[in-house]
Amino acid sequence: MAEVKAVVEEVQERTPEELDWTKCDAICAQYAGAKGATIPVLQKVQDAYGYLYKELVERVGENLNISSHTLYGVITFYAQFYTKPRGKYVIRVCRGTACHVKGSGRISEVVFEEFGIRNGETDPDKIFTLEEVSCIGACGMAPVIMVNDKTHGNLTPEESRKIFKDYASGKMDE
Amino acid sequence: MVTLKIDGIQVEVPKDYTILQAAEKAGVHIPVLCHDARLNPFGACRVCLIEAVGNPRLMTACTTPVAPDMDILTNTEKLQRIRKTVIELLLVNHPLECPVCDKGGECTLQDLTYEVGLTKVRFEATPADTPVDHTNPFIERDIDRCVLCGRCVRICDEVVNIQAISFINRGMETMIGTAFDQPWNCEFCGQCISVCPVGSLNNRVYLFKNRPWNLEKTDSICGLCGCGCYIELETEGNELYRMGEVPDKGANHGNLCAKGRFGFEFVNSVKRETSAKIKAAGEAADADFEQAVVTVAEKVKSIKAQHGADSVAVLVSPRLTNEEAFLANKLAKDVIGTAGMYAVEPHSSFPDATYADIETSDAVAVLNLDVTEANPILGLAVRAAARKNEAALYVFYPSETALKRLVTKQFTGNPDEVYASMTRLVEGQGEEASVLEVLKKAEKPVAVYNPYNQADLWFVSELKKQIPGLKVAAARAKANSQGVLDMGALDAAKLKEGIQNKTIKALICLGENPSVRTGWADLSLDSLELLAVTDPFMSETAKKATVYIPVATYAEKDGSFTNLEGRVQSVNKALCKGLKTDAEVIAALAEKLGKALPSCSCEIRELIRKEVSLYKDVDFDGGLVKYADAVTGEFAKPAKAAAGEGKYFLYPSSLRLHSGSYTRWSPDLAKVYGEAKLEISPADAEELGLEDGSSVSVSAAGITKTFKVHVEKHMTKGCVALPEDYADTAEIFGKGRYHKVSLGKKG
Repeated sequence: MAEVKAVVEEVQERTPEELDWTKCDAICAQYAGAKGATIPVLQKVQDAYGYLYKELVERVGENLNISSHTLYGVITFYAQFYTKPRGKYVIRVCRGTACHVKGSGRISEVVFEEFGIRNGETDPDKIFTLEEVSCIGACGMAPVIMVNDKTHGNLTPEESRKIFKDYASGKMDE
Repeated sequence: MVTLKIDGIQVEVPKDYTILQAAEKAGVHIPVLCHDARLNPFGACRVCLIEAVGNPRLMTACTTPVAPDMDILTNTEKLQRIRKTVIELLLVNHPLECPVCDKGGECTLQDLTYEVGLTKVRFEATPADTPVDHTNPFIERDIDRCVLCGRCVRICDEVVNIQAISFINRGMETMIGTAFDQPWNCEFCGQCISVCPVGSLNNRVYLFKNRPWNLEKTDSICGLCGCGCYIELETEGNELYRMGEVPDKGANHGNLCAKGRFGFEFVNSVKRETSAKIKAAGEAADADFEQAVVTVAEKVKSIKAQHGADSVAVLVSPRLTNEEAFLANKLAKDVIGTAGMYAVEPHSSFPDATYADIETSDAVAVLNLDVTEANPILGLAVRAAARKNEAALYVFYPSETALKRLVTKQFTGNPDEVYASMTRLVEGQGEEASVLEVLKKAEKPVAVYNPYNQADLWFVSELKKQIPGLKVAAARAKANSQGVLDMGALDAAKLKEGIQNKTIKALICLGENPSVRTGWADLSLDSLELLAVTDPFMSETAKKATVYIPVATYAEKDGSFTNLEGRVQSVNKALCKGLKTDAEVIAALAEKLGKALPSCSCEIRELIRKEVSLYKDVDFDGGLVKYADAVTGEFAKPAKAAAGEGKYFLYPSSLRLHSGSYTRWSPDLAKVYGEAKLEISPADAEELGLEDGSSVSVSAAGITKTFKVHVEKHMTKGCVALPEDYADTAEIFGKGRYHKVSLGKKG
């Protein structure tokens, strides 16, 4: 028999904005009484709050009369829902065959060197989230990455480092 | 109706049947794993695959509806091969820890492996070795053994409607779990354990205590609340090990609650008394049974000679069987010569709606009752109506209840507001008028109420008058609350009066514990010259007894209980702890008083048939007694519910995992809820600077008591609740059910 599982409840201080349910309640109210509303509500709530944390999921559950456990089942089924904080910029590094051959692994390494995050992780300042994806369908530009909706191709590790630094310093927002 | 052939056997079945149901009717066995008759078809395990002649695709018998002229084959060579592979694949990730698994011997997967003749698994997988989860007090969870049949998730959703667990993640990573990996926190009904086909969810109360093949099973009826659930007492020797569910028998469809499933331990309790006690000069000393009975008989004789027969009273507990209650009445009437026995049970309510009526109802009103807590299986019927039948559901209760997810509308507020709301319902005013309309228009309207609130009967009788088709269900608290009334118990209010004005000098108290009963605790029993008490435990009343005789619990006797539907069901003796039953005590006492009474339940049953007209033709194995009226008497429109001057409204909440005073002797239930706690809303708690576990003094009706606090987010602001049937709360509720109290932080 394995040992007793220690329950470590993730204690995370939530900001007042994260616990302000105005937006959440308004979104749920839009779908009041509608059947099959769970997924659109979760999508909109995630857009409004960034990601789906425990208190938020519980609040949605209370509004929709569904337990948070059932909702969590839905959330973890779909890749589009996130239960961990996301960075301002989501870096999608293509790890398809062409990009792999052209050294996209090195770009992931650059992200780790600069921000200390691996695949699926977000840095403490919530600037970057790294996602390694299978193929973004731009093999001609290999190795290619996407930062939010913007595509950067034909990169060397050093070029990618500069791009990330530009994002970090806010230059790319202009 | 549809006619089809299954393995060459022709059957005719209704057109909404599945192939599996048709096969059952044809007497053809199709192996299943994820199927449960109480749940919607799911088709996850693929064990029940069958062939339909002319269709190249294999179909799952549990999900495919029948069609005319189908020709189904269930056991071809191809199917045998496929089933074997399906089981083989399940065994790749299922650790073969069968020798140390508590499910061994009653594991569906083990049985299926044997059935398909699988001897070797050709594939290997790295064991996951996930730690076993012990965070739930009753349910041990080993997710590595899980085969993802989903029965636990589905029963928790479809039947219990708590949705405490779900499928988490997808694909290879799927597991059964909770949101954000929190500990399992639920009503602890253990329904998930009962449907788990493997050793993934285990009963911690039974864990590693015995092996299933050693256990002898005795069909009986649960002796705790008034629901009357059909159970199997699983025993070895004279030890009770487990409560088994019987899905195809009884009105509860095999469903049980936390107290029913885990609260049986008091039967085995080492704290049970084994010897009678006689008190002399304030000191109780051990005595043998004979001595105790003689002492009671002598006292009764002398008191009767001195003060007349009416100075002796017999009080029976609603936990006695019908047979025992009948005998107690004979003792009171024929042997002692009084008007009859008494019971602390409301006399104006009678069974009306059955579970089936509630389950198929299209409009249900729950009046001033936390039904899922008080009578969980009655609660399941209400849930089934709302969930499966999509009935309109209205709940009137001071706080939010577990029915919240299913309600059409809930009316919460302090007890006075709830009474005002129910008054508007009856009078067809305000927002509640629409509820009355729905109930009036419904085909099968049902109201569930709390008969222990005398004031509530006005609402029930008024609704009955206005809605002729309305069926009502009185949530009776104890296993035989109804039965003892049917056997002739008189209203105990007269008894209380008699004790207060000292006209009653001797009380023979059979199993009852008036010292903790709501409305009784303030009654002093000191003036009695004889207080004879029978109880399995040294109860609060037994401590005051002149003569105390320990007796058998419901697991140790034969007889019958009448549940809140008016259904009479047989209770069967499963074990013996060497103690007398109440029937034997009564018979022995009668003999000493000079009259022979039978103590064997079959003989008494014959007498009941002869002398109790309601039970003349009733079947003692599940028959319904027919009552003339659901509510009798005239009731006054209640004014304000609560008395007193305090700032907060106090009302009695349901028993929180307990059923009266017996289950407090069950260590596992007591671990979770061992003492009476004051439930308070987060807002009030903050105002008073209280948090979970801090102490608070409650002052009401001139009594101040200290309780631990339980902050409960469903509580309405301005209201607090305490459970009934606890020695600590009895004094407060001794003066009435609703109070306005003041609270003070302690320490």
